[in-house]
Amino acid sequence: MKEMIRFVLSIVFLAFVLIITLVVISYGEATLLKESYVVLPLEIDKYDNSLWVEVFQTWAVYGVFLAAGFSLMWLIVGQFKFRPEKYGDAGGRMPWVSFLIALLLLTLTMGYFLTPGTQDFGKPLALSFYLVNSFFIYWFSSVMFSPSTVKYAPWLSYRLAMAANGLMRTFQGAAK
Amino acid sequence: MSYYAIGFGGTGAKCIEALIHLCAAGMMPDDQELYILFVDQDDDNGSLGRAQKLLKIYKKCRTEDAATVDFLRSKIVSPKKDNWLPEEDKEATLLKFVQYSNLTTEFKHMFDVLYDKKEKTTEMGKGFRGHPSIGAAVFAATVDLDSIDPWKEIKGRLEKETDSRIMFFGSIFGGTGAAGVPTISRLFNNWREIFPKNPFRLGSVLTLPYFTFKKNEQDELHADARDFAVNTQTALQYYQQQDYMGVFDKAYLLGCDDPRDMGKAEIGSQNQVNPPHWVEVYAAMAAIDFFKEEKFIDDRYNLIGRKKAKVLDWTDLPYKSVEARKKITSLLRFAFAYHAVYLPAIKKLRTEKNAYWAPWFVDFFKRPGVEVQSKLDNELNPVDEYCEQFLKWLAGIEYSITGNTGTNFLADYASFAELTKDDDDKLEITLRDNFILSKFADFEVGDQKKKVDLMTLWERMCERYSVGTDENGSRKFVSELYRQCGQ
Repeated sequence: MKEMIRFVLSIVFLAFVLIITLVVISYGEATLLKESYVVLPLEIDKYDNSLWVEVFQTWAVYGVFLAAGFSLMWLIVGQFKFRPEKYGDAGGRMPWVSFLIALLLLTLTMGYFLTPGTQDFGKPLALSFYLVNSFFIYWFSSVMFSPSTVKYAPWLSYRLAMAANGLMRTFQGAAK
Repeated sequence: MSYYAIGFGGTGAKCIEALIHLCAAGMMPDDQELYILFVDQDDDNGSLGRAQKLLKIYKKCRTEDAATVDFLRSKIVSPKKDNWLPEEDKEATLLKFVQYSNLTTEFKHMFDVLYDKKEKTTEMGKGFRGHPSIGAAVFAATVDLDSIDPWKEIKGRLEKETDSRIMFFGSIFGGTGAAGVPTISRLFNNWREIFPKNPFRLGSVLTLPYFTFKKNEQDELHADARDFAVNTQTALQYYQQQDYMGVFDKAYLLGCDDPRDMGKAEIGSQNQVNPPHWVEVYAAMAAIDFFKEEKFIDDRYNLIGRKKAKVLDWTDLPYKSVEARKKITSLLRFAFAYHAVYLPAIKKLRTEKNAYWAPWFVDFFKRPGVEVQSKLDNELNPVDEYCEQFLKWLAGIEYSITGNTGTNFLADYASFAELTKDDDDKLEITLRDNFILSKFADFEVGDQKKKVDLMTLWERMCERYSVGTDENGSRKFVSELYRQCGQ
């Protein structure tokens, strides 16, 4: 029962992350794209600027769902697959990295074939946006909400925990 | 107030061994200090050596902040030399001891009537060899509670305390216990008048024959199991006639209707190391009962026994059975998990860069000021030594109940220990190289809704953080693991 509650809470947390990410994409990235200093070299004869941004955002949102799906898979695998009884059975980083690589490859593939036409460095720039989107969502959600047995598998999570511990010590020291 | 436990001879040492394990499980009534002393003429006695080693490990493992969990909760102290030898000269014989050549003819004749040739000429280096008559003579002549340590030290402590409790452990059928307990307890009794501010209480656990062994064919003077019954009968008659039991505020007599065969008899020294027996658990629990007693009623006689012969269940133990099971099984689970899973992981993670594989290691050990190697040497390895001692002891206790029948009452020791018999039919208890980890879930503390396996324990440990600013991550880890093993 306790495990089930923990699992449901993890899902709820993940949902919050998704919502926050969507809000950022919808308002933050869209604003960035529409700013005059962000110039996306387009094949002008095929698309106008506003249509291109709309299609780009749509695929970016699908990318978010894809990353969230992988995060969920990591959560499930971490919760139910990596339950070591001794050190030798403990999971390494490989599953997390494997999911990440798969996610990025899918993102790249999707972006390469489905991004509307661009010219010059427009395509790499668009792909970079997709990759950052996917990576950030997967990384952030797994750093924050990985199951306890694999909570330090995501890159930098261990360092972040150390930093958080250091901050706590500082606050405790100051409180004393 | 302090508690005192004084163990006489091999049996006394084994009873104290059991008491130390119960202290480690947090079964003492409160957090009062326990003072332990051994009394054995055979300084090399294997059973004594095992108990002394355990005492040393316990003291090394326990830290002042240990009281946050049951594990090693009680503080145990002992004199610098924790075994008192009535006669320091190991080559001394009874003849030399009484200075036979200086005795008058009448005394020589009387001495010759009381002691046979072997008793008079056998060196005392290997103890009193099951002959209380030798021990009685030595104790009567050497015990001076006022001027020699550790008795002087105990006296000094009693002067400063109030309501102290002093428990004597010994066998009634052997040499040292049968001779020492009545002699020294009477001397303690004399102190009652000189410490009016400390109305201390005296208790005793006297064991009747609960083990036997095969006859030793050597010609040397030695204990003979065939004499146990007669020795016991004589000792009990003597105690009654001399009103020795009246000295004690509470006395516990323990026996067993099914004495366990200990194999070939050994004549003292390191060879005389007998496996643990469940009667010793009763003895230790009797001491706890004595320590927590509030009202001492003179005319009360309690009787306790097993419900069924040759069977011992948690409910047979003279302790709140649910609590006893929870505390002892918690310690078993901790020792099992610590020895087989967590310490090996710490040793590996110390040198490998895969700390993130074991989040609990990161949370408890990757902290400023935590030098893992230093923690291993000073804190973690001693705890493991204790765990080994406990697991072997518990396996021996279980074996003393069930033998090789394959049934288990307290714990299935086969998952962590191997019991073999040597050519002399003596039991040897060793820990398995590879524990059967899946059996961990079968050690149930009693109030669990479902079995907790090692995977769940690992998961729970990964959820715990060591909050704080200090370098005590390893201690906090031990406490946390113990806490989790009890849930």
